Amino acid sequence: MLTEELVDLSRLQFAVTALYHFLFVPLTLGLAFILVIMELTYVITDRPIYKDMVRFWGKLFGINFALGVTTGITMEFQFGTNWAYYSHYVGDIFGAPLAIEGLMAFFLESTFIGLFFFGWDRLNKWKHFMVTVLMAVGSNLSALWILIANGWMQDPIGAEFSYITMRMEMTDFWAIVFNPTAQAKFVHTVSAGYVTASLFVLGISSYYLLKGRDLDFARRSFRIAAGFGFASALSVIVLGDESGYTVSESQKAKMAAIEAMWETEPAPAAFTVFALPNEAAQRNDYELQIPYVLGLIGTRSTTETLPGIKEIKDKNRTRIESGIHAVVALERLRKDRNNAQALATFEAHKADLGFGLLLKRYTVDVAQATPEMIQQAVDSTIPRVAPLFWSFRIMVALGFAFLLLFGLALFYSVKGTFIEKKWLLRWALWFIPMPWIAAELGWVVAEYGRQPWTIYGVLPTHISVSNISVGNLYGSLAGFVGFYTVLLVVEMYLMTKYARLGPASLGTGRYNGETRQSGGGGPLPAGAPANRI
Amino acid sequence: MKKFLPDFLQHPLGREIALAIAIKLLVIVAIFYAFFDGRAVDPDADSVADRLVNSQQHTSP
Repeated sequence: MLTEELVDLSRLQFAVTALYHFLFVPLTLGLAFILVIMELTYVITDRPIYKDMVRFWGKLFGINFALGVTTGITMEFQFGTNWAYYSHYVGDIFGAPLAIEGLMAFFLESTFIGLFFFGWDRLNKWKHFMVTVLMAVGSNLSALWILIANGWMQDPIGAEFSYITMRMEMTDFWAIVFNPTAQAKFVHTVSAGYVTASLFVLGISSYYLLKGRDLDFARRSFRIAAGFGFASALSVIVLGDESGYTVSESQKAKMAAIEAMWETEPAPAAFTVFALPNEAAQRNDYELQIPYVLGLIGTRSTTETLPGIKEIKDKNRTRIESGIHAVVALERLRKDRNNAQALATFEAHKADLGFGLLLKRYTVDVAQATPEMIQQAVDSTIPRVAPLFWSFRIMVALGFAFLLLFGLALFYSVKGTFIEKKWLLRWALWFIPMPWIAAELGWVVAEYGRQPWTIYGVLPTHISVSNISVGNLYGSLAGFVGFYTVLLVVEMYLMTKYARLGPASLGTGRYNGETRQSGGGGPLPAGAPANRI
Repeated sequence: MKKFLPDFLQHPLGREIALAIAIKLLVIVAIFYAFFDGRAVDPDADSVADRLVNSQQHTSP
């Protein structure tokens, strides 16, 4: 017997593991490319300080990778344990990009991470640089295939439902790979990773500058982070806009909820900067709007309208009523595959099968669904507005704050006066956690906004879960939260420890707290492991 | 004994990373084994059909 508690706990468990996992991912994605820039500078200039920069920031990259790797495996296991019906229903499609990710990108990434750390004495500098490039490409390719899988959950194209196998079957692999939703999500997500890593380097470099230590090292790191961060912050906004456009095309309910747009407004719609969404009354209180902006962003036109929540609900009611015919016809087809009339009915209504299945949450026999049940199913097609409205706005506000910070950092880097701007250095230091907050909120918008579906418009969430006991879910959830919290604490401890030690942890003898010796090799501060990376 | 180890395990960092990954995998496998072994379903077309069309799964609204 499925209960709401089982569905909610399964969702919570997946959300918790995904959000924890994504604490590690963006730094890996972005720091890998910053290492590429630093190492390219090293191979061109042959100045040892750039090699030290690659090795020191590479050390922090290694800590993050070592702690983060395997945290994503739990999600893949959960597809089988907690979401067995989901896995059967869409595994033929969803499994393909996950398998490619595992076979190609993950092995590429892991292999070259090994060579990056252990190849310094075995490869010449150009070969080592190529290793770093391949490591960065590998980690980003890994993200590509995961986001192709996720993009298909948001916009399930290139597939068709088979009533014989009772699963979605792939009809066009390349449509899934080049799904505009997936591609927009990929570039937006990796850009967010680049911003995260840039602010990480910028903030820690600012710490050294504020302390007046390792100045040459910190100055160069700061400049690279400022330049790369500015380009990334610009990208994340532009590509986020593109991602929003794909949402307005393929997930109109999510877009309407993000914008708390209850009524369909004349084109081009206004963008609501601030409001208190009142879900009971289906209106906004204390609304502050900028005319035309949402319509231009969401439709790229001045004449096309964006549907409001009430209009979307009306359309979804029609689809649910059509879906009832699909479910009933499917039931007949399962009893008699040669029933031509049932097949004809099913073919006519199968595009709305998922909407009919929404009623399964309220009744065993959808053919007997009452108007109240249909109304409940209609209401469920719109995710809760307030969490999406605020998550999106905080994420966007942080995105523009990053652009401003990196813009100023780059401006003063070019002028050569950034060391004097203590307020800028403090801002960069205290802003280090913010990209993580923005990225997590971005995932909340993407995934919470997809509800009530696991596969948008195709498979409702409550159909997807396994029949397992609530007690097992509570137990495993506690286990994952405890385990991941330990990993996070260890990560933060090691990051703080090595960030404070700074490049002196390399043991070259050239940095703060070390005895100055030409050629390096001087004593280290207590606790600093020399030549470990 | 160290000389019998693969190259990357002769390096202290290599040993630490390998140990960390092994411990993490063990913990993850232990959690799944403790709470899901023998309890997760393995749906086929008929059981999915049961879920979709002959469902016993009425849930409270």
